[in-house]
Amino acid sequence: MKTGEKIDFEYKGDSYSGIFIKNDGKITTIKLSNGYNISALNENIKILREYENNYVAQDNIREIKINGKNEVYILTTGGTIGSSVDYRTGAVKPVRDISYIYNFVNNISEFNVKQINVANILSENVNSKYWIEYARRARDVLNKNAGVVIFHGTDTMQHTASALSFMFEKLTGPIILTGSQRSSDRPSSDAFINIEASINFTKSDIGEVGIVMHSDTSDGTVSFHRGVRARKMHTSRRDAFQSIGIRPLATYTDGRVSVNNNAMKRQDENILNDKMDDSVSIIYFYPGMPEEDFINIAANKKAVIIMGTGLGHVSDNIINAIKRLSKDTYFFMTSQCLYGSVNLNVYSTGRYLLDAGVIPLGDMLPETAMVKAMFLLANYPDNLVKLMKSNLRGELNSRRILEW
Amino acid sequence: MKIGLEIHFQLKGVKLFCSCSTEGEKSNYLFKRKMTPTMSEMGHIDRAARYENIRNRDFNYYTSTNSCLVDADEEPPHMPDDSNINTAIIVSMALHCKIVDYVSFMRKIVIDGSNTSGFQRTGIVGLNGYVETSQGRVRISTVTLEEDASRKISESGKNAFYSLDRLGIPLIEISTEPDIKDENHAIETARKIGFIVMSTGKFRGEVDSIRQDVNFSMGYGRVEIKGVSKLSLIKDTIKYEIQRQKSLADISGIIKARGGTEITDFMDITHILKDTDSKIIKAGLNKNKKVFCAKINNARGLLKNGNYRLGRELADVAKNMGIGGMMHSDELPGYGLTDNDVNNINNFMGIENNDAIIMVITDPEIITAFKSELDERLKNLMSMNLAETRAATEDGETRFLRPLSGGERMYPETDIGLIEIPLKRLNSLEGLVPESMEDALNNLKNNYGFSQTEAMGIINNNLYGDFKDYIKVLNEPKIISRIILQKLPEYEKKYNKKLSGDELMEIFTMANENKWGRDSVEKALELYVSGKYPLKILANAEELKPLDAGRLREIIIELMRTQEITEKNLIYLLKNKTKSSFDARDAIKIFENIKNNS
Repeated sequence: MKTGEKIDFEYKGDSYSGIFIKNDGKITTIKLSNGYNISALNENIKILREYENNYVAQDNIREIKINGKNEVYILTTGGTIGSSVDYRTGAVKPVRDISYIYNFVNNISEFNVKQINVANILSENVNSKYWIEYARRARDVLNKNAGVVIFHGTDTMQHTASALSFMFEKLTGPIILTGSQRSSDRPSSDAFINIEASINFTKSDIGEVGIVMHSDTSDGTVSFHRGVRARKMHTSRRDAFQSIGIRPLATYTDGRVSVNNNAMKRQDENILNDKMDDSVSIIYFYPGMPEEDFINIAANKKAVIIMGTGLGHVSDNIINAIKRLSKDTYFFMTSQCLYGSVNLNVYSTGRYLLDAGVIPLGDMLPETAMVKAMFLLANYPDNLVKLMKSNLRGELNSRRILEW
Repeated sequence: MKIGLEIHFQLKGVKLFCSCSTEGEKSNYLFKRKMTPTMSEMGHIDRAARYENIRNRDFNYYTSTNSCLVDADEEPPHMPDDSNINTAIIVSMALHCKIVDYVSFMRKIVIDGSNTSGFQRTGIVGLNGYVETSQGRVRISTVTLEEDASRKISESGKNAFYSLDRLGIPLIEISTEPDIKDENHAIETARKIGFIVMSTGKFRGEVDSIRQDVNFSMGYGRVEIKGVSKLSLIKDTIKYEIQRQKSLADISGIIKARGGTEITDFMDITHILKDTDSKIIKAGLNKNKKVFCAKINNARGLLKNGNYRLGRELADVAKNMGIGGMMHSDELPGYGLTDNDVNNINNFMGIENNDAIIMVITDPEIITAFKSELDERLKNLMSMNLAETRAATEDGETRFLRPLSGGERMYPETDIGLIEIPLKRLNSLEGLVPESMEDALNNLKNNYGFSQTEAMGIINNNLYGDFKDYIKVLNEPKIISRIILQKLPEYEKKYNKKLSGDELMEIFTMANENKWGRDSVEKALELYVSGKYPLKILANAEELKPLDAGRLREIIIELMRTQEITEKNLIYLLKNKTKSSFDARDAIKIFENIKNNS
């Protein structure tokens, strides 16, 4: 039997009709005419009649007639926002066509939206090869003078955003990554407004890579977070992404974009350094961490980002390990606190760390630091330490203010 | 005529898909959401969902003390609690349903904002059962376990306000086949089904804990009437619907005989009414709205005339789209419009003989969408295709809500896996399956000596389960029934205090231990409800100490000295005389003894 085939069947002594969905060898699933699925043990179900299969799976492709003046390319890479639910089986699969966005983007007539399928993976499977591919595709779009929006899984969106930020030394327009925390099969999905906001942000004069997601739980305002300062701070909420230590660069509300002065402006060309060195690791220190574990991860890496406690501390045994390894490996210090800057001058532990060769990274986010090291090792290996400590894309703030 | 029921019962305890209590209050934190209709794989948007979308509303939600991220659609659902599934299984068994091997929760798209997710989660637990009634079996198609919707607080323009306190409360939905013969049979069926759910002891039992939907058809398509709040309203609602459909058949016939009807495009007639004295129009114009008017040919005298209410059918569309009032020619002049105003409108619109007009005051953007919905509705009404979802009103009427939803709006809830119901679990629940109402009635009559009326009193007040508990500790059916049906409600009202089942149980246990008669039990109850004694020392209360025979004799003699005492007034007078309890039979014996000896 094929999915979608109409059948008559007997279940526990009663007869029903329905549509066959699947049989996994143990359980048969059938959709009843009232829309409910019945999942029955195979031994309790008897197929009485199969009807000729007249169901043809249809691609959800519709002709798009709107041809606005602003060309926008959506690069789909996977993730919740790039997935749809098979309404019959409930299985999640990639979106083949994003023309559905014409149903809800309010000012869609101003745009001419095109889709490029770049990848279809869950974001936890993204690595530096994908970052490079996404960067090249984004550059090609920007070179056409069009807007670029990347649909991305939210789990590692901050890593991709940081990677793109560093790889592009100059940008002629914003590169926008957006995602959703509720899948787009739901009427309540955050995808709809995130996409609307993303498309509208492509018109702004921002020349940075950003993450565009809900500002709060309401479907009202959407934030443009600087890629190198954004972080997923909640497992499931719509406003999971937060700008850490700075304000979002821009917001979108009801068709209006408002941009901060802090945002870097569009430049006259796109310069892409599309190389990454994977020989970087990130180590999360915890009380009682065995030295061997630390060494096992750090050995043979060109650079290690440590997530220390508080102002940037680790235990004495780890300091000893660092001392031994720091001839061949660069060690950089960030904080598990995420908010605030590390400072290795306050406590003696910090000073020992400095002596051991550890380089403090101020208020740089750990994931950003890791991606930055990967970028610098591949492109500017000779200036690694100096550039790690410099502010290249807004990843490092010298001032932290009480209120913003 | 075909009638089917869908009855929803709230369960108490914990919400279906999170760990919040079913009880709580509205808080002040507010958030706002939009709903976007999503397409099924076939590329279709459910008609009901599309209809809601045209209304382009903002949904505002107040959180509550019993809501969390799951209710706010900010966290995936938790696995449902076993107790809720067990209750659904027990009810299914009592209704002779087949229990599914696996509960498979579905998402049913609902975008009127009542669910923060845009869908309601629902799963079948029982299939194909029946309930016995005086007019034969009424088949049960499904017993489902689902989540209740948010409670609507208010609505103004395009904004709807909801509270999350009700969202997620478990509901057992029982759907019957259209086997119900008439409105009285519907009430009987609902009662019998209700008895079973209430007997599980898990029924929530608050004001809005039962809601009935009535599926009704008299040959013009299935009408689903949502939210009949009271059992007694089922009767009025069905009567109203029969009358409405009959009169629509008449209207459709008359219009056909006149040559059919159509609505013209809406014309902006604001300029004609710019100097009108009509307050309602002036108010609209002050808000920068415009007055639009369309002609409906051959409809004059059918919009509002005796039983003919075509106007209301069309006004429902306006109302659903947030367009306040719709005026029509059968009510004009009215709304403060003068003859002169009406003449000007009629002239401008070119009104002839049987032409009717409708007018709305609204924002211009919505008028095209409104017209297309209106066309669709008029076409359906005139071809007597009356299938639709309607809402029941508090006064037993119904009004148009939205087109019927199709099966297309359901797809699997991917966040919750299949929930297996093994045979072992069914066997363990079998002992908890409640009796049918018939069995309960027979039990009360045959084993406890109640009359039909007394037995029905216990059952209709949802006290059968309690009665069975109390009779275990105090084997006095009449005393118990008088207390739970009369005395307890009376004292609770008098002293404005609610007693829990456990407290009452204590008092009955005490009664058994102290061998109290009826008067003493009732006196003890009143003493306790009034707050005079706590349970611990209630049994030792002065007032409950029975008079010994000697003291009783003294009081009776004293009474006999002052007035004429008979067997009939003795007890009454004694009660007035003393606060202490006494055995009435002893008193009469003593009285006869004194009388015979004197």
